Amino acid sequence: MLRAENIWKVYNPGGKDQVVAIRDLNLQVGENEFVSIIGPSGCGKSTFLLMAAGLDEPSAGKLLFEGQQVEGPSAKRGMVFQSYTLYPWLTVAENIRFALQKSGMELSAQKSLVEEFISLVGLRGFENAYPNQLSGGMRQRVAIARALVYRPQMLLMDEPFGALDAQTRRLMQELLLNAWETHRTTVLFVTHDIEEALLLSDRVYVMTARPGTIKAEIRVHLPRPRQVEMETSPAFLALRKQLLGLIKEEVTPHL
Amino acid sequence: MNLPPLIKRKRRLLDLRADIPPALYAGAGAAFIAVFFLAWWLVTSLGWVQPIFLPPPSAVVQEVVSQFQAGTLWVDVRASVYRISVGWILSTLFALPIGILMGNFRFFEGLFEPFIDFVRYMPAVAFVPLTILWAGVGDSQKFIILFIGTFFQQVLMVMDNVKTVPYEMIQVSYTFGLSKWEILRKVILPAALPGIWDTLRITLGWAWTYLVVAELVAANVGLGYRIMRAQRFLQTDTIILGILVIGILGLITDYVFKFAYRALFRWAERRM
Ligand SMILES: Nc1ncnc2c1ncn2[C@@H]1O[C@H](COP(=O)(O)OP(=O)(O)OP(=O)(O)O)[C@@H](O)[C@H]1O
Ligand SMILES: [Mg+2]
Repeated sequence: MLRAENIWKVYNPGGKDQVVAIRDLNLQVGENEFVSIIGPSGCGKSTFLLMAAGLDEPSAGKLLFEGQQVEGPSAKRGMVFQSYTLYPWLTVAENIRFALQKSGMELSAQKSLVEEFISLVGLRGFENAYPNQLSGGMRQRVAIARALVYRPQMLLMDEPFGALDAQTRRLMQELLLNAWETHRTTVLFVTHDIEEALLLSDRVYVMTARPGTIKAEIRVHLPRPRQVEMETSPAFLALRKQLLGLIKEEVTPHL
Repeated sequence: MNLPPLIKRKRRLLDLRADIPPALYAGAGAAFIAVFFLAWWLVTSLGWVQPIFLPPPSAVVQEVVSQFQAGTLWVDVRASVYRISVGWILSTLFALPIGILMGNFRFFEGLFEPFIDFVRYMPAVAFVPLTILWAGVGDSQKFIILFIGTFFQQVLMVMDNVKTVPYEMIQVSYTFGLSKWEILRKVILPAALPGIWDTLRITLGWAWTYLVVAELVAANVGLGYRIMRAQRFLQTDTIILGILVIGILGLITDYVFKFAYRALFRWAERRM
């Protein structure tokens, strides 16, 4: 579904502050697959997601979505950012419905769909609350509902739970698992968190330190549906150890 | 829900950023103004200053009554309010679209900002003689001064208001399939509006200064003119009345803007 071939990203090429953020990166994400990218800070994960969304352009290489060159953003590829991107002047329900305005659905159908997704992310009773009345975790749930509701063919998520505490994070991972099992869609998920990547993904790509490229690919053969409790299973722990080793190699030289 | 007996939250007056009871907030403001007038009354009634420099409050009250009966107060207020409204609205009408363009498109920022920065440092007051040559001493000269004084500040402030909209909010809007014009209209403008509203409120306050300066130099009606004429006849009570009236008019418009802000932008309110 998404295919990156020999992608490079160079910021300010030729300038004094030239930064090679991504070097010769290759990856692919299949239909309805949940794929994570994990890698040290500053290795170009966010940069890659922005390019995949069409919000930025690669400096070299090919980025194909369903066989077509990615050219600019579109409603086919939704995105959830790490920072809060809710519209503060809209209520929870209005924020989610905002994503449906290009769907061509009738208002009544939009509203019932919005309600369904509000329940899905457990925000019943907060339909009419404004974002500044919500906690960080609640806001991110709204952002996820908003990104799911219009059924983009692919969902790009950039550390959506990065700003949350460990407890809330666990709850959100369960919620995302649950939402993904009910509304299967293609997901490319960026995270720092090894457990999170293993729990959610079918495959995990490990990136090198900057300039980032794919260093390893790990297939996560854990049965679905998954629960947070799986994190103590031997299979999970073995994968975790393997990933930890791969990432350590990238992080330690810079310490 | 059955709640246990609630412990009254301790309110400490001077905790950083802590809320205080609204009555105390409003009361303190009113009391301060009352103290100010009381001091004025004391200083004048005890004879510490001569009435010719600072008349007692009672003299100013008498002046209100006589001006009210003569109708001059109303004529002056009307002339000044008319001028400031037209001048400020005219400036706003130009500043809004240009500021919004500059905040969103680097091209327009590059195109206009050097010129605006250049003119902005020229004191509007220095244009008074020139504008009198251009437009005489009538209303249009006041409009020009108000425009020069207000527009260049407004444009830059509106530009900054627009730039405070987080870029991620714009990016995420693209992923819902919106075009850039739709994003401008449905995302950037509503997001920037509270800031723009404050800009309008603040610049209206500044506009009073420019108006009065223009009226002080050349006019035959208006609050600034009344003040200027009174100085010639050493009528300090008239001068003080003029100043007070300007202050009160400014206060009223400021509060209208603030209340409207609260009604329009409940969502923007800070959460404690
Ligand atoms: N607009 C930009 N201009 C110049 N350099 C940039 C820009 N955006 C990112 N970079 C650089 O590119 C590199 C990759 O940045 P990116 O944000 O993609 O990292 P990341 O992998 O998402 O890191 P983190 O895990 O901390 O979010 C960094 O070194 C950063 O400094
Ligand atoms: Mg990042």
